[in-house]
Amino acid sequence: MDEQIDEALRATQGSPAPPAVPSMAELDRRVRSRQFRAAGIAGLAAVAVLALGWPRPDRGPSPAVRDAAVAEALGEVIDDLDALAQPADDALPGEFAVALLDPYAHAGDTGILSDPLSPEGEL
Amino acid sequence: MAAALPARAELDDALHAAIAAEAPRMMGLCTRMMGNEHDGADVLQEAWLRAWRGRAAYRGEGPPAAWLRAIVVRECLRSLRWKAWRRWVPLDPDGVGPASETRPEGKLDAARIRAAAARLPAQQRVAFNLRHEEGWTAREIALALEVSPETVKTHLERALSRVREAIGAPDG
Repeated sequence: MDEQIDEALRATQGSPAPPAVPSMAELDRRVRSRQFRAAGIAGLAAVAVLALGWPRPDRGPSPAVRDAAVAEALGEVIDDLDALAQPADDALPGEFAVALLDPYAHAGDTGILSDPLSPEGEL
Repeated sequence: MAAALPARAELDDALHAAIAAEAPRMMGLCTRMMGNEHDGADVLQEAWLRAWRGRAAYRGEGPPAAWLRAIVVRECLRSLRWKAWRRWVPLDPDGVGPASETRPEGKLDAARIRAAAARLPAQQRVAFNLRHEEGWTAREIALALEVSPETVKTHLERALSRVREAIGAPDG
């Protein structure tokens, strides 16, 4: 029975064409892009936890201490993202970074520019 | 004295060459494992990225193709589990072979076998496909899945029993 199953399956196998194999540079770029997103998501989660005072907002630190901690955590996120961003990576998800920072970053208010990946960025 | 391991750049070159050389075979494996070409291509590309990201773990102790195959298989398993969790596993695989009408008289129906295999739990499905579609040994499957050969044999026995029952074939 095993052999009959093997025979039936292998006699009817198709040969689907694989997708194009990316170059080593392209693989590097995609891996870095993934790391960028992962760092952003993890960082945003950390900032959100601090900002919301989770798990006990009623017993959390004072608003001033919490705001300072949020600012520091946000700075670390920006540093992480900045370290991962490469000038040559036109396709890095700049929109994602903007969305990530949007709730906190208001140009002219906090001094944080809206696009941390722009060449003119002064993070 | 042990032979010096190749430099990182050489290993990267070898790994990239293996990705290209194995692409057609791995595409077939992924397609049969996932049940359709579209998902097969997605899983294969995800496996390439995973391999490239973790390539520091490959130090040239064995052929890069073997290291790569294990990553592809584990990516298939991960994807099947994710899909099962989301209840997206197709019950009627398509694009994995000719229609069952072409089956010669007296032969088992490959389409029915594949449909039955598609309903197996993820790890049984992976073990079944590697054994019966790809012709891997239990030891090769165990190495790729990082489980014992005995575990693989148990999965294979259970999978075969379920497939036989589904296609109405006698045991043994």
